Amino acid sequence: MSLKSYIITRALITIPTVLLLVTIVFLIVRVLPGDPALLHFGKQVNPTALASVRHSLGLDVPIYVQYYNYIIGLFHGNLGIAFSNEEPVTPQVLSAFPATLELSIGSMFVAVLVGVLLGVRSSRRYGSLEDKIIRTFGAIIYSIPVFFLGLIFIAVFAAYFHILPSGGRMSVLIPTGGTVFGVHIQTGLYTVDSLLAGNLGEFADAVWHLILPCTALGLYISAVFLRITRSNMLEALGQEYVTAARARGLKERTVLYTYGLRNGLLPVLTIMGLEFAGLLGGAILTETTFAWNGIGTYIVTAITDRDYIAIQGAVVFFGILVALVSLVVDILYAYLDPRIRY
Amino acid sequence: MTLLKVQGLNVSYKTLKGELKAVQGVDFELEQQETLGIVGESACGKSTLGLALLNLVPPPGRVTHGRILLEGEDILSLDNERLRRTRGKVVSMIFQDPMTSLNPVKKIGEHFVEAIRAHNPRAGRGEAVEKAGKILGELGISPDRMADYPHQLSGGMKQRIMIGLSLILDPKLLIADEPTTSLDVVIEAQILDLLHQLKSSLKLSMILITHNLGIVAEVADKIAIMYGGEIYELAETKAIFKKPLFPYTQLLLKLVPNIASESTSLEWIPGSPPDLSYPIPGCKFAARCPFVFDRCRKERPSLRNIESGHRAACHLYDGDRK
Amino acid sequence: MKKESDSRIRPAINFFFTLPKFGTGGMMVVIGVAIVIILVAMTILSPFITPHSPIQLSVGPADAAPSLSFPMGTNRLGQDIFSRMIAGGSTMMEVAGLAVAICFLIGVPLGLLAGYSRRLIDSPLSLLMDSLYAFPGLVLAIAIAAVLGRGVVNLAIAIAVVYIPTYFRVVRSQVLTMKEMPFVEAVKVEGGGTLNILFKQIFPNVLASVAVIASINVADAVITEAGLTYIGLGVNAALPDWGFDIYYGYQSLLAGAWWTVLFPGLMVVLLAGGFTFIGEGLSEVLNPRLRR
Repeated sequence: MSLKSYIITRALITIPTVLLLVTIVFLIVRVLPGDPALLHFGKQVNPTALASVRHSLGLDVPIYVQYYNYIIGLFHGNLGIAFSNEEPVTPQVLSAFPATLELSIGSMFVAVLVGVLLGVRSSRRYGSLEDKIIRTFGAIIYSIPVFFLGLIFIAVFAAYFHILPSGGRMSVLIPTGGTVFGVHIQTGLYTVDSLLAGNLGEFADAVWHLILPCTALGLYISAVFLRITRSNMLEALGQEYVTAARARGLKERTVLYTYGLRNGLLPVLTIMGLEFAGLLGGAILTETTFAWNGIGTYIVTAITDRDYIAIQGAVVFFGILVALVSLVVDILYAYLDPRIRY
Repeated sequence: MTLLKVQGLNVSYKTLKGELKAVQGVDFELEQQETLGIVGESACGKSTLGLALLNLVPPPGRVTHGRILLEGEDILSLDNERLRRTRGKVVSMIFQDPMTSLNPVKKIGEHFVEAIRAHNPRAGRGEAVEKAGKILGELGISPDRMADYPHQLSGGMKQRIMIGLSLILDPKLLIADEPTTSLDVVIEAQILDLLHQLKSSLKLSMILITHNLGIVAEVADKIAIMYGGEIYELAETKAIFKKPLFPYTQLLLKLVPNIASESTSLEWIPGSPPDLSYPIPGCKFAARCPFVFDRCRKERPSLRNIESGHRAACHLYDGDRK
Repeated sequence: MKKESDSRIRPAINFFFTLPKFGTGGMMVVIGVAIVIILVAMTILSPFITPHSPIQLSVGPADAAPSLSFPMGTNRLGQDIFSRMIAGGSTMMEVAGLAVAICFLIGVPLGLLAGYSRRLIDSPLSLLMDSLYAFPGLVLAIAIAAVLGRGVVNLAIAIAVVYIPTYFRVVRSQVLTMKEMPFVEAVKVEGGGTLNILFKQIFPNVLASVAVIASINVADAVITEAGLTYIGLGVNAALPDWGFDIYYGYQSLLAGAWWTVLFPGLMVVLLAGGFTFIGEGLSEVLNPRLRR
């Protein structure tokens, strides 16, 4: 099948997947024995006040009606009304998103860089001591909880050496963004905003604050990339077409890149998509450790407040995000590997 | 001058169990336009031998001993760049499984252009494509196929493309490692025919590696019988079939089912090939040889001329048997 | 005629003793198992070997650096960290162990079922599992744990739900490959029933992959449990727990008392690492890359 039809098919499959996902989240929150509102507000609250709050939040209707409202609301981008401040969840989540996005992109960058480079190197020196060391390093990194890694970084670089900040996204003022073609843009991504404003000082500050959390989260994820890259490269380089290519007298560099890397690295792309999900999970823990105002912190605060609607909203947001990213990755992969299009 | 002279070639693999001697003390020569068939069971070292001729033995294997003189020059002593330029241009190789010999993400045409450019960086894309189209035509493949990806073609086509790729640079020697083993009998016949034609039209020398005596009977001028990493018999094709000297060869010939014969059961050679990770004193075939005697187990027979160019490594022809 | 159903089943114990011969992979498994056994033994014996009571407050000065009397220092509440390290693994091991058990008992049979059945049963199951699988694991676990509340069982369930799809997928894809294989055909021809095929033929072969997944799973479960504790969804603040200590040590860390966080963290890394080594080692041993 051609690329176009693959894209269409794949995009269509996303819809039931997302629907199922969203339903699962809904069910989880409703699985609570008892009433979410009651659990949030506790028993001391005045029953009338509770009833009116429940009404305004739309919780006093039968569950299938609630579900219907929920789904319709989602189509309009409405993630519900939070318990804690009775404000809509969607804007809250959206405003916290750029922080998480910046963290995620930076971390993915670190993870791919470290993981792939080490993986390739390890595969080229198969069986050697260097290979064994790299693999052990990978196994150990995989076993370190990301927040522990973050805490160590803070302890060493912030508390001890005082060369990197121990948390937060900026030291002073938040970048307000810049003007492009006469339109003012503020993305919430501090690195981008400061560049748009042409303020290099702000930019440097934002990057400075990104270094520790991205390295911690990035290293945590890199273990998977290392393992997969190494194993794919080993397989690719052991393939007969590599030997055949050498037998034709192709340059070693050509063989390595067009035959080895190109085939061996394709799955890395899929892994990037899959790992994005794990990245988001790790981001939650990293944000907590580094006082990073992203969705992760939002969720943790919501847990402390027992604000189940907020939790539901943020989780749904994550789920949809992951589904979209996975769609994009799959399409990209199909473009790069002609075999996938069946 | 002799196109190829192999002297005392030894190739070993480093394994968990120790050093596995895949090829031991191999000597042979090949003249211009001659075809040599190397015949043996699986794991007798013939594929390793083939790879060694291009110095392509993959780690953990390596050549430990010997010389491979191609047009007088030792391949094993060439530096990387000269070695690379020899491959494909002077000697090239086709492999057993065409399914895995082509790069799955490159179009067929690309394979050719790339190969041509690797040896002549200044070659124009247009002329490379033209050349490729021509040779594909001679092999019976329509030039439209150059825009296809490998997985879109059948096994027979892929093998023909492999042959095309290996011949596009006009090498003097082609090594074919089990070129038809993974193809069905009909295609096999076509490919063998093709190789036969090319032999004369391109004045090509060939080394055909296979386990099937039947194939080499058609195409080869001389045959080497390989067992346990060593060559035990080497002679002209006619001589091998008329008067096989090495007992293993004799048994191999008996294995070919013959419609004319009266026996209705299939023959086989009892026992199994030796495990080469353990050193074996004496003749490697001793354990399965119907004519074995004491000396065979103790002393390795050397490949010697028994009669007018027909060489064999067997104590039976030594005069004294104990 | 040789019975084709002779699949590659090896008695587990024999297998274990031949491991060191398998080079790096085998060594990794041996190291991993050794680490795990030591840690588990230590935890079981903890009531008898801790120098101080792990939960007693103010056994020593608050946030004291490691010394002879307190080899790993004390935390803000004056508790002996060394004793807490010895005793702190029990919750984690219980939760992780339970989670893996649940995953195994649900994921594997479902995988077998889906792989072997017709589209009618397979498709919806796969769709469900794919949706779950695509979900950010920790996020799902957080959601479930937040909803269910504290407790070993609840936490185990939260973690298990996240990993069941992995078992499911691997088992299912193996079944799909294997049900076309000759040895299954052979059993069918000899009149073997579906259950027989599933359990006696396919399952033992699937077991190898499942073992690898299970090891990595335990490692992940340990880390996830630590993570959940770190954000406040832990089990019980009263019992010594490595995860809780990391969470709690944050304040002391900023004040310079690195030992309050380092040691509990190292214990988690050790436990998770042990299982990771087992998993990676098994994976290498069971899928050898050396092809000659």
